[in-house]
Amino acid sequence: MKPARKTVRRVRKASQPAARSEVIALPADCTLRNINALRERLCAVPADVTNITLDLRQMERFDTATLQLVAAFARDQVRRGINLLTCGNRPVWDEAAELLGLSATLAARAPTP
Amino acid sequence: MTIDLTQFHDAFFDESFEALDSMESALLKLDAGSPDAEAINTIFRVAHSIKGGAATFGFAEITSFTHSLETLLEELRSKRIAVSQRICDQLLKSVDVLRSMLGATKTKQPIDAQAVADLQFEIELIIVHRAGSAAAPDESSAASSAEPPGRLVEWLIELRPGPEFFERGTDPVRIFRELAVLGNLLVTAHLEALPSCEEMQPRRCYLSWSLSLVSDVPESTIREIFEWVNADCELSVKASGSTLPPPRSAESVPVPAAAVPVAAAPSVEPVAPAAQSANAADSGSIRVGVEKIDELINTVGELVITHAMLGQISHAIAGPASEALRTAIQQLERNMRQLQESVMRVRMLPISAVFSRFPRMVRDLGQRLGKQVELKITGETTELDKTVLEKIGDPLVHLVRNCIDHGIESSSIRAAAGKPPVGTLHMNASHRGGSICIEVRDDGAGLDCDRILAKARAAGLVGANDNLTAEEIHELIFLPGFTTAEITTDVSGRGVGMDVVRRNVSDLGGKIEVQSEPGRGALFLITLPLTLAIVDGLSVAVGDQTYILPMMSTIESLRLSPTQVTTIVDGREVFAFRNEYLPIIRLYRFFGLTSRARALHEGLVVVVEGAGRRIGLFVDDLLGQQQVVIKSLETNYGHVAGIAAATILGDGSVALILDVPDLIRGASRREAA
Repeated sequence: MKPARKTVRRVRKASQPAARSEVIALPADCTLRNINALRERLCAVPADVTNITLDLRQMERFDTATLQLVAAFARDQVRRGINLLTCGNRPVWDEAAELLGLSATLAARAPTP
Repeated sequence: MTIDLTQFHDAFFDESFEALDSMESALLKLDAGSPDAEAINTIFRVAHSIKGGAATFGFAEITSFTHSLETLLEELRSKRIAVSQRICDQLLKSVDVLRSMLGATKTKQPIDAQAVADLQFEIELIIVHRAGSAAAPDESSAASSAEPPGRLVEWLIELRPGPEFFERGTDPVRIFRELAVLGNLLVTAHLEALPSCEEMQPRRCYLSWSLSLVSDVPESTIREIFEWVNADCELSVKASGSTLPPPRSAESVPVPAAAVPVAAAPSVEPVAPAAQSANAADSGSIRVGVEKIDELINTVGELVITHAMLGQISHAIAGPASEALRTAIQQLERNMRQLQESVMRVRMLPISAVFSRFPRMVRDLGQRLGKQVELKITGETTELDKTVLEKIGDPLVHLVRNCIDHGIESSSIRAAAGKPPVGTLHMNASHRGGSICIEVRDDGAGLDCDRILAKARAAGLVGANDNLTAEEIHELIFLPGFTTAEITTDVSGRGVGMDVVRRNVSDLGGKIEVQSEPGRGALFLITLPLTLAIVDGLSVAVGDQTYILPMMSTIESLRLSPTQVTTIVDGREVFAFRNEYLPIIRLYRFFGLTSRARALHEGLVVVVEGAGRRIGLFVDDLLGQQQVVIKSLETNYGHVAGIAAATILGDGSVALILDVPDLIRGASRREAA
């Protein structure tokens, strides 16, 4: 029995690509002034990533334009089956997302395969 | 019809700067413990007014910042947030930031985005924290809860922003935050129009929102929150369950953003520029550029010269018409003087324009140095020439900083000395004769004569055995590089203050004196001429030239006998005058002229004062006293040592006006060499 289980695990590993994660650190100033650069950074995420983490820890300022951009990005990733996570969640970010009705979009998870 | 709004920019900036001054003044009077409602209203009105103007002209960053500021002020006004020291500090910083933004926008320079964003973030945090702690009843909310609640209504709000919503400086999250304060808010975002991240132009707004607000506020309160964004969005506000459309006002009509140019905004409160101009006219005053006034003064100066020429010509004319001509010239002279005085008055501004900066400065410095200082200002309506006003600010700043840093003691030291714990700094301005006197008086420790003398001896400024009077010791603080501070701080103590103060005051044709009483405080007294455009002068002859000595610098003229003059080293001459020896400068020698009087007893010595010292100027003769119009030599030619400016005399000849402080400094340098 033991060898058979071992074989199954090997088969699974060979058929699925290794999970690849990308961490995107949002800059301190996430406002309209720097939004084009932020969009370029988000669009530069390689196609083969399976997990994306938005690191909010350095972010000091943001506006609705940034939340709109991140909402579009989050929705795109969910459609592609990619998980979008955030780290360094900040109360002000969450409060703003809540106020703008974007919490659900930002917290959406890709359907489990 | 398209209105060119740039023509109103200057008026907007001028009025905004003035409004900020009144905002700062009101803020400084705001007591964190028991804030005056009217003061908060004044501050709110300023922010509201600047926001309105900025929105009208499309200054998006100013609009955005003032919107946040206004939100905070509305919270304070409605007592939903209590006025604290921290909030006062942030509001004062807002004044600085707004001044900087307005200045940068006016001069088309980049705004310090970092400073603006930092402060805006701080302000929003205060608002957010209040919103977050709304459940915790504070004193103000307890008071409001005592009021009978109104009928709860569910308001349905539809907001469809135009594509340039963000770029116009509007951030929906701030609007929704304000709405959330009014009641229970539910927000639904519509993302149908939102393209993919790759396709989107991130500066455009693609989102729209449906909001449900359960609150007892009237519709007008909700619409007020959207007041400044109406031009760039479609907005609908209606009560739930009601099939009737909301009352159609000009604001509530959905306006397609692209169809409405910024110029269409004047219907929005506050008063649009054109209306502001109308109000200015109603108030009986107009704004006139300084260059226009200077041109007028220049023309009046030319008229004074022409009048003097006519007077001279009239004396050369004989016959029956000559008497009538002289009478007419006398009449002309009266009218001329009246015109001259009227024009000069236009340039006169109240010194409050300078004094107004000190309450803030004293407050900030007191906090930094841990001293309690009360500033008293009197005589702020005293008027003086605009140029003098602009140049006296820096010397006064030096004095005030020194008074707080060196003069006024900390509360504990004051208490130990039996003085009130709060020190007093008193600034006063008044007219005295043809001069302006500005006093800066503190009730601190006064000048420490022993310490000043010890420092001066250590620096070699005073001989080890020299005995100086208290007044002479006080004068030492005006020597270049002199300081008694043990530690150099960014407030004072670098020894570059008081000599610069004296030099700046001297350059304005004025003088500064100090009086001090140990343990009781010090008084700095600045005396300045009323104007720099015309000077009362004493005309003196040196060779074939006429020079003008400003009357303000002139003390006395005397004829010296040979026995009164002593020749010392290097052939320098001195004479005794009121218990001191004064050096003599022979002006013909200084300017390389041939003098009619060679021996001192053949001419006259005019004792003059400047830069804290006195000297005797040897001249051939005194010609008379007259008002002369100052013509800048530096503008028309260049700087000449010992000469302050030029003037044109009645016979059309040019006379040079002597720069007494510069002559004295030159004499001092020669003595030192």
